[in-house]
Amino acid sequence: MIVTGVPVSGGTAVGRLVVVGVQLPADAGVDDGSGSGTTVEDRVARLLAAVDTSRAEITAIAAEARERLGDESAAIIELQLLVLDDPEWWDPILHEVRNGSEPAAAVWSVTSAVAEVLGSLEDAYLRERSADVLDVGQRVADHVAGRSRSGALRGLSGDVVVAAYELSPTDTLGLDLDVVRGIVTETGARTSHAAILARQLGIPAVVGVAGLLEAATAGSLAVLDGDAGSCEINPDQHVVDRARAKAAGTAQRVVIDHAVTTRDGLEIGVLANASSVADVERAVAHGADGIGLYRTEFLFMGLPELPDEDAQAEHYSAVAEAACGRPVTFRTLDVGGDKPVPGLHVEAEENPFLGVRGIRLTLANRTVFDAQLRALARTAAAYPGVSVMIPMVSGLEELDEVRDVVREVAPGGSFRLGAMVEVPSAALLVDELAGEMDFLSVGTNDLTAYLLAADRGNVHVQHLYSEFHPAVLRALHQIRHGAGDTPVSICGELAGDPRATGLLIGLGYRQLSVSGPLVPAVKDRVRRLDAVAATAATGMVLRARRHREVEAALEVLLELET
Amino acid sequence: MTASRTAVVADPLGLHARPAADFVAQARTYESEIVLTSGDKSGNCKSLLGVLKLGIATGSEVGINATGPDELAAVEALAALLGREPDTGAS
Repeated sequence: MIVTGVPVSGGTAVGRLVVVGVQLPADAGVDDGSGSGTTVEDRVARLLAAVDTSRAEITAIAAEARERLGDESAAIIELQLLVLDDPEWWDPILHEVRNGSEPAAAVWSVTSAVAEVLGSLEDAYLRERSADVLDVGQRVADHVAGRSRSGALRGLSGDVVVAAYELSPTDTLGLDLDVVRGIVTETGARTSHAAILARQLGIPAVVGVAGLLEAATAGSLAVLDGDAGSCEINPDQHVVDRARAKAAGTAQRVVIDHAVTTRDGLEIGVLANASSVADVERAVAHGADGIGLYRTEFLFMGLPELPDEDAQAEHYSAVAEAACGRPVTFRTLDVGGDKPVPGLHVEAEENPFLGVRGIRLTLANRTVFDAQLRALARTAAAYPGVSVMIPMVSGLEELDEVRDVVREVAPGGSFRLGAMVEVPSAALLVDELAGEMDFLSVGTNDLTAYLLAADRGNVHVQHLYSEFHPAVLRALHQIRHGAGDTPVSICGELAGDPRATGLLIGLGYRQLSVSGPLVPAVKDRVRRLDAVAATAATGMVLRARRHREVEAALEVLLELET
Repeated sequence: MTASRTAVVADPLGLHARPAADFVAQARTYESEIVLTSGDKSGNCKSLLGVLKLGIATGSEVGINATGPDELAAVEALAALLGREPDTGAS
């Protein structure tokens, strides 16, 4: 039989159903192991401990989400920390426990009451926030009661499609990507945080399927179509064969060794950003065409003292080896006063983002820079695809100096040398930089922050920060235009935003470097695009004078693409 | 004493989770009691749930009332964060 719902994450999946049933709020309070003899103080203490444990877990999940998927995904999880501190959640729970309720029951009754209020709001987006509150409440109630409920999703094997009444944001992030091929849920909407995370993770998903749990039997074979929004349970063999071919086609396509092309045959390189050997392995598994940005600072930050040339050469070789012949662009140490590295003294600065960081810091610490360049030259001698990229370049003088250093410490060094365009002066001088470098790469996060003079971590100004600001888009246009024949890639978060794929291709960019898990989605997007049409439509976006005009133009552009 | 301001929510998505989270984080930096009102509903500005449950859409006019030692600074900053001043006809 076929059940249908809302398609929220594209792709085809075939697997055996793992069913996660309704988790009634009421069942949490039945027995939380506290017995009747405990005092109110004991219960309050147990409740506090459960909140602390939950806070630590959610903080760790958010940090992992930031590493894997970026700030947007981390913010989704961090929202849950605000609930833990929320007086409208916490005060009534404490009140109920002080009046004799079992802590788990109190957590549940308050959580479900709050979720119900949110769930009855008119705004569809705000309604979905009830799932976030339930996710937190569930976690705390489980800790109070000493239970674990995500057991059904652990230790899975084979190809699995998860069929659940509901799947929380943290459950979604915790899914084993090696086995879970698809998600189908009875509740949820396009704006559910679980749906957003499924898209980020590249798992095909259909939500809001009425009657799913009645239709789903654990162990049945299911074919999920995340584009059409359907899930067929116990389908005919020919349906399974066709879906397997489609799913395998996707899998095969993502590991092929060359770039995908647009509908009209333009080749676009989709590479991955990485910070560790494990990241590189995952990127290759996701079908990345290479590593467009390898952040070397994580090697430095993870060690008690500065790694010497040999240790670095060993690490960089392991990275190049893990890339299996694909090109790797190593960014030289990019730290500043705000990102301390053990063994490297950086004086405290009033304004670290305008201070000694990136190339400014490495040129001032030649021992460190020389060792890194020698190690990279050794790696490049053994692995031909290695490039080296210089961060925070603000003018030609720095590049002159870098080239002198390279000639001195690594004569005959065989790596391609490039510069990051992230400081506005580098964007304005892009034609000069392009004349001196083998390639350029635009770091859109820092470029946006420096162009708009807005730190997105600062709540007072973060509304000003947008990679879709007209000034940022015009800068991207001028950079690509000014660089002439020199290759320019994009390695900021903008590159991984599927809304921007057509725009960036239209602006003339041919290489995007994105967070590893986003590679399949961006490749998929590229394959659906027509480069000529995207180029024609780009003028409309560039003419936008205000941020909201950009948004409106993007909407039109997206409609044209589909 | 109470300080009050009105503001028109500028975010195109209204007061959604992320802007609401920023708003609440900002409100928590003040000592004063701060209340957000929208229509006939009101909520505690230091509570994410209190703010979300108001279901505030873009363009709605909301009131911010603060009572306490830093009430004036609180309402000024929070009104500015939400968006623009209500249109009074002045240019």
